[in-house]
Amino acid sequence: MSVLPNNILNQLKKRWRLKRWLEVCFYVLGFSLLSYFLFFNSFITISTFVIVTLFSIVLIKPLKPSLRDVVNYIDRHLKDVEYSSGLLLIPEQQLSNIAKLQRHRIGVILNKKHNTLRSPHSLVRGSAILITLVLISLIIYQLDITISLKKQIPQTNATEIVFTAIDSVKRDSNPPKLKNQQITITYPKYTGLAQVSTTEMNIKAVEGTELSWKLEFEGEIADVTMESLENSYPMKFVNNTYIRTSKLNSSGFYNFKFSDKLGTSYVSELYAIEVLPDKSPRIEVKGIKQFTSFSFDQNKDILLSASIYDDFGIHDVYLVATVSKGSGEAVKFREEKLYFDDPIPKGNKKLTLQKNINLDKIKMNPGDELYFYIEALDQKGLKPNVSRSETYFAVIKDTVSDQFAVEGTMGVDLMPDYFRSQRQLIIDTEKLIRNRSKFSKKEFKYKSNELGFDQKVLRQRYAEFMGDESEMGTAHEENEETHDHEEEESNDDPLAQYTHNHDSENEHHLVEEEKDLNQKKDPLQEYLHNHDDPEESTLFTQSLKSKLRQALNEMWDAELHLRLYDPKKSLPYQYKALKLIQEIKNSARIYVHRIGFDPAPIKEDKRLTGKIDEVTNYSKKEKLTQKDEFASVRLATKRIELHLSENNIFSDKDILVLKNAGNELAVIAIKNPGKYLGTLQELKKLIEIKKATLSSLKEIQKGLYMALPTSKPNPTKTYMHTSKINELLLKELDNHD
Amino acid sequence: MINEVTFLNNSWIWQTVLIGILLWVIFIWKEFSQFGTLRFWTKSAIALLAIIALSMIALQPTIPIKKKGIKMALLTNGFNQNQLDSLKKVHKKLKIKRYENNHPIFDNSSTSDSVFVLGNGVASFDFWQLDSSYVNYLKGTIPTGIIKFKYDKQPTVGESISFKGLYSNSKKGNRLVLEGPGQIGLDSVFLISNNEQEFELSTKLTVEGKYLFSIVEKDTLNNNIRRDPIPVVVSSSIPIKILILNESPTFETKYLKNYLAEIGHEVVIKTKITKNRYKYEYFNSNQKSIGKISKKSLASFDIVILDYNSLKKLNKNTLFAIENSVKEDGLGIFIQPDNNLFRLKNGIGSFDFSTTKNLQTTFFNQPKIKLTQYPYAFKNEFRIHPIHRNKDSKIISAYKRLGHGRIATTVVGNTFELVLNGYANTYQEFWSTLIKKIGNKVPSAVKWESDAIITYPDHPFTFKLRTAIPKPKVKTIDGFEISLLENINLNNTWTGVTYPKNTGWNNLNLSLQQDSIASFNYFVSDTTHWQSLYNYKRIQKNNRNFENFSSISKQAKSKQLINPITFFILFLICMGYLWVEPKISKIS
Repeated sequence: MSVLPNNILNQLKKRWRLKRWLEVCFYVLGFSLLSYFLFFNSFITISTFVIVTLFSIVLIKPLKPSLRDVVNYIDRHLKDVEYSSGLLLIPEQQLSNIAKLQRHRIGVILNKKHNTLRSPHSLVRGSAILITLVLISLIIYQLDITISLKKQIPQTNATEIVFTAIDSVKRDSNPPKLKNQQITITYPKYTGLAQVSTTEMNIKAVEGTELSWKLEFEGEIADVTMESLENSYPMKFVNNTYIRTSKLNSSGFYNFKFSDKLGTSYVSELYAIEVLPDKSPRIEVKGIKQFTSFSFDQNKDILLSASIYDDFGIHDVYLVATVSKGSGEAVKFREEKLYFDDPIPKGNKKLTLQKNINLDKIKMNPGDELYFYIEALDQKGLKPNVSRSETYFAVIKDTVSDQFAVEGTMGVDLMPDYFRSQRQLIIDTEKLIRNRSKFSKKEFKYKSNELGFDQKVLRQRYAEFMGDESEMGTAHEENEETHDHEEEESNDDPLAQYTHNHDSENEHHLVEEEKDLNQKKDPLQEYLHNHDDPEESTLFTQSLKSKLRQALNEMWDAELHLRLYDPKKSLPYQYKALKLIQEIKNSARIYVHRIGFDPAPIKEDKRLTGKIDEVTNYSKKEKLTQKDEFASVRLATKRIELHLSENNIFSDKDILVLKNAGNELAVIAIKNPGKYLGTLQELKKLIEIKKATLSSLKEIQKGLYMALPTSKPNPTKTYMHTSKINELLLKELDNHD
Repeated sequence: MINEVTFLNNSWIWQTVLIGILLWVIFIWKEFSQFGTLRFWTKSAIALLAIIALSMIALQPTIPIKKKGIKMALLTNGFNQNQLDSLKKVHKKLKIKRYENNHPIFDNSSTSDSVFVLGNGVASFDFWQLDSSYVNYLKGTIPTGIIKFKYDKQPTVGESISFKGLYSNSKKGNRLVLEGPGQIGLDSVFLISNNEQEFELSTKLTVEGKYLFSIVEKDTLNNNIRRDPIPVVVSSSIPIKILILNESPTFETKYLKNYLAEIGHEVVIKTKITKNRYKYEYFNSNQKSIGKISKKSLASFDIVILDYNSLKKLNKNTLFAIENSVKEDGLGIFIQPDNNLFRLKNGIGSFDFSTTKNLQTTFFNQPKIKLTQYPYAFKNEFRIHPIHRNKDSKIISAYKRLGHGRIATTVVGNTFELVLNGYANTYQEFWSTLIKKIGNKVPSAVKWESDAIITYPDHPFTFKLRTAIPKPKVKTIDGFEISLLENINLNNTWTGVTYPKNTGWNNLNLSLQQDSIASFNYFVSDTTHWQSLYNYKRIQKNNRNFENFSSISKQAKSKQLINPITFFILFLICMGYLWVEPKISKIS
């Protein structure tokens, strides 16, 4: 199907123009969106729309492409037309024959190739810009970056102080007017906030902020006062303005009052001052556990990092470390202030600090304990807010002072000192091995056996805590009579010369006892909580018990090898036992020793005599009723209801009640000004003018009712009307009961 | 037939009869010369007829007649047009009339044998007008809004007040909001179903005085659809005087006394320390002699709380005094239980218990809070009144009546544990209910009652009054006296009706002895409020009233006056005969 060449040209022209229009639309849409999300203001958006439209029309010229331009474009981009597509524009009659032929040829070519022609455009650029602008708008919307235009908009009348004349009778025909109102808020220096001037009379500011009110009036005025919670402060007259300056300490309410030359008083509404306290710094400590322990030979470094936050800036941060040395009554404390590794820049709101504490550097020895916490101060004036972190502990384990630690919490050391500690045993064993060559064989064996005996004593001592039978007494006695036994028993035993066989008798006993046990099998055993059985004893928790049992087993092995005169083999067992005991010692710290209750001694001569001469009757009189803190609020609520329904005039008594109610309400309102400010304002107005509209009365009543706390459930007497019939019924019931 | 003839001038019947007889006697005496002849008898008869006709003119007899099929539709507010249309279809000659309050329903001429009342019905004071008609009440649709509403009109401070009601044709999504003084929102409920919905709104009262609460219906956009006022008169609470007797100090008493004394009640405690040695404590009270308990010393207390051991150790006289106080003065007794109490078979403190295995119980409305319980349960006999129930609806505390007073106990032990577990409010709720239930009542000379929530200006407001005053005189706020009607069966019960003029709070005053006045406050509001409730009640009343009509199937008849012309013509004919007859006889 062939299309007229002129139509093709027209189509091309239309497409070209359309594309330019599209480009215009892209720009307009993009910029309008951006301006809308930037300002949220329809006026600005519309003006942006108009301006961008005009600009882009001028620049892009969507109406410009004419047929001539199209022809030029075709000539340039389609070689087959041989630069003669212009012929198509000229009416056929005006052409020569050749021209007509050429024109026809071009027509055919155009028909074939017009689809390959693409009118020039920069739609890609346009859409790219549109997408970018849309993205920017979205980001602005997400991040809520809106350029507020409020600063440029003049102050609305809503915040202007409205004065109401109190005495409406003597009103001046031309009452003085407020010309200018201003509060200058000077924040404390440390906050780093700039001074602000505002006409908004409800103020929220940081503690210690200096406020300065400036009021300028038109007309003659006698005096201006500022009233705040029962007090009134006259304002100074300087340079035609009334000024008062005050430092913010507590939340509250205030209003202005002035009287003109005729003596008429005018009162403003009530405004709230809310004090925002400067918060204490917040400390977060990372990288260490609450308890850290080091063994003597470890690298004793504590690396901690702390993040400190404050609302207005941190003044100082440091560590307070306390080192305790010694134990019991000999304990000594040493306190030290440690600074962080990096210097602290003052006034930052957030700090991340690191500190490496080397226990050796602060001269700590094994057994010493370190307690430390981080203290941070903010910049608040003379009395800065101080906060401190939790306390952390670090200990260097002391393996030498190997007391049985279960006793650690007791004032008195119950452990007998005549047996060697595991540590001592190890030292002695090592010494024995070292000096082996110096001893004779018999001497060596004797010493080894001796150590074995000590190991046994130690084992038994620990076994006692497991609930095992104590063999201490017998063992000790035997120890003293060693030699006699030795001679008696030496006959049978080839080793007798080298051993002290303290155990035989005992072991014999044990076996026998076991036999006994086997014979008398207790049928109740399964149901009993048997404290006698060491395995069942509840002195320690399961893990602790198993550890102790393990330690005892190690001690067994250690003893065995000592008694076989092989102290070298015994050493590893001894070390294992020592380690286990140390672990038990550490975990046992948190347990309180089981202590029996010691009752006060009973005076036997007085007991059960039944003498009550010294016991007398006792009488007590007390008034427990709590004072109603909202008595006036309750009364005012009741009075207002009467006014609502009967429209009485407010008497002086009512006004007094309302005043008291206002004071009571102010107490709670200070804590929650947003909720009660409206009520207080209306109440103040009512007290001053002694008149109020129904709606404002309702508002006041609502506020007052809201402030009343819910009372506790309270039983009360109820009224009852008795009639003859009731009496009769009761009588009948009684008779037939 | 003759039985049904009645005379309009019924009261003149004797006079007329006498005069008539007199006239006839005179006539007979005048004609006596002709006695015995036929003429005499004829003339006498005719004269009697004439006299009867004359007296009938005077007496105006009526005879009942069957009305012809004229039917009337009385349209009242809220009638259904469809019903009217179908009525019109059935009865072609249907007369239609709109009903107006207190206006005559029938004109003099128009009487109808049957009346269809459509819509919400006629006011109860207009029922009499329809007494003589056959009435068919076709009730209108149930109005949209609150159609039933109930609450305590005279609660006390500190109490929780609940407003229960039924909403008809509720619209899903709307809310009912309870507003308190100053239109503060206190409670709200969503309307869920699309037909009838029961609702309950509640709040705690914190201040005494008379207040106008209101119930507001709001749509989903928070617009007020309607607002109905609820007048509430909150009275201040009266402290209770409590005596506690304990054989030994207990935690239970310690916590109870702290709670009661802190909220202002007078608490006196006598605790035995050792043999013959006591500890006396007076909280918010003057010292009273309670060494020896007598009826006189008990008169200054409302409630005695004692443990079982104290009860056991009371001597006969004291026990008798306590029993008398309970019976006559309405003293309340609470016995702090112990295991022995539950086995007690007779005496003042005996309740019937059965054993149970439960050692823990809960409250009916708070099933999560556990309470210690003795292994006993109240037997559900009719003598006892439950105070608290557990979640299985078993009674856990109850009282029995003894004369005017009440004696209570519980199977719950160690309630102070509730305080220790942090449920102080539950603890206080428990004791508050218990003490309120058994406490001595304040006798009141007057009791006012009224069904209406509010009333409308110039509408009748009916109130009931119970008082022992011989001839009570009730006056309105303007000083007008209202005549009272005494109930024929129950003396001391009076009813009265008043027509309030002004909107707002009104009161009725009854003067008592010694210049004191008992007042009754009621609220008058314009007729836009509580319309649905008002209309619903009207429908109910009409239903009740006209239901009887249809059941009797009374064929309504009206009486028609016999036209006096008839008698006059008869009289003329008789007179004519008597005048003509002598002349004819002369000629003949």
